[in-house]
Amino acid sequence: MIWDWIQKQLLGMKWLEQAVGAGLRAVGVDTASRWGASAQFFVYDVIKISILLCVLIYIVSYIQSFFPPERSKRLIGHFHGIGANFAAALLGTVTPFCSCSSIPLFIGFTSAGLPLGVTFSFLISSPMVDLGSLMLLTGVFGSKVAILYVAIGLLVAVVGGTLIERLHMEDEVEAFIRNASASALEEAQMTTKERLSYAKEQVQGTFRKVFPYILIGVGIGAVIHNWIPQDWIETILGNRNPFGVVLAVLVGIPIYADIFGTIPIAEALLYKGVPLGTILSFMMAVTTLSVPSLILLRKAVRPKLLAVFLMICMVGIMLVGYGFNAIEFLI
Amino acid sequence: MGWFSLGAKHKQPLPDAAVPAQPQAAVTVVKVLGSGCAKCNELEQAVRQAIEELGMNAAIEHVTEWEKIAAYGVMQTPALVIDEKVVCSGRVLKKDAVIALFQQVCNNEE
Repeated sequence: MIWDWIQKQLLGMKWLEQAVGAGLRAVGVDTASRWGASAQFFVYDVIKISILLCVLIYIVSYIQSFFPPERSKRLIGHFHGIGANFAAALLGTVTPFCSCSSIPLFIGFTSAGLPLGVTFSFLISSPMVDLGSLMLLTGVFGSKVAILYVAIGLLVAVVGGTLIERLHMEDEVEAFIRNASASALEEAQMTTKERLSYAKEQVQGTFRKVFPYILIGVGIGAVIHNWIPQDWIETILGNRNPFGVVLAVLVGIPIYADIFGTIPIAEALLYKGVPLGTILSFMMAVTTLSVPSLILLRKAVRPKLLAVFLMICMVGIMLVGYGFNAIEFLI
Repeated sequence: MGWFSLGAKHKQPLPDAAVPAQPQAAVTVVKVLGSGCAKCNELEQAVRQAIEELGMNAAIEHVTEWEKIAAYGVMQTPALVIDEKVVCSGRVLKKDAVIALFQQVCNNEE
């Protein structure tokens, strides 16, 4: 019962939806009409996601302040073999990572003697599975989905990294990275006050960066919710189309949106009957890969290795899609 | 190293009336590490403003070559280096935070 409350009222903020509706009706908007319903959805969802974003990023950043890449690198170094891949995948989840730091991260890991596959397990899991997404997924889809999502994401990262290791593509890493000698930076110890100030910084920075995506995402979500016929969506993305997952992934990969921006689209698609797996794989494709992040990674690895990385991510994401669709009835 | 006293302790006698005394305080070398993305430029801006506001005798360098950045052991850009010591990495500091950092480093040295 309490879990249901947490989902519906705390994370789903149904009270907010009703409040917005009441507010709009008070100024004469007919919330039963298409435009009125869209307006209600738009205002409610933007506020809801903004609040979620601020609270989640704050909590997540605080936790992440305990795992700077220097520390993660040191922790991973304690493991060997596939254990190291697993440690890398796990730590990739809690380490703050921005794709513009791909190169220094690569150099840091490689010069510390970490195998290429381990670095890639980290790189695959970092954008795919992260604390913020997890909390969001719990709120929107429930904890069972979130846990399964993490499990599959980690699996893809470990297997993907191990595969890259077996393919012996070390010489596909740019020479300057292999030759760079990085010194180990002493891990800065942050006081609690510094951590909280870091968390606040992250909230402000992320909110400013992500807010446009939220507006666009909610806009698209509102259109799907109220304007696009259920039939169209079901035909293209629904169970009738066995390639729904593939389509969702191919459309999602080139574009980038923050996960907070994809939430309203995901909610709207769910409402229109799109299977869970297809939605999850779309979200994953949008957030994990994008043209800008691939361009940045290209500075660190040569095209062949980049292509392998891309393939692994794509296959992994499609596995998530088909997998969830298959077991949807069990969740 | 007197950052805020512009060489008051080290004035040389004037060779002749027309040439003003040159301040001899050591120059603080400040480096912003990053490959030119928006975040690194933001940090550089904040650093410049901080230096100006404090009236510091400092030289700023924006390091963009990865080999040099890696040599500092930095794994997240942008990063801030003061006199060859990494004081911050992976965060875009605002001007006030940079000022606080400068003052902290200055106090630690005295």
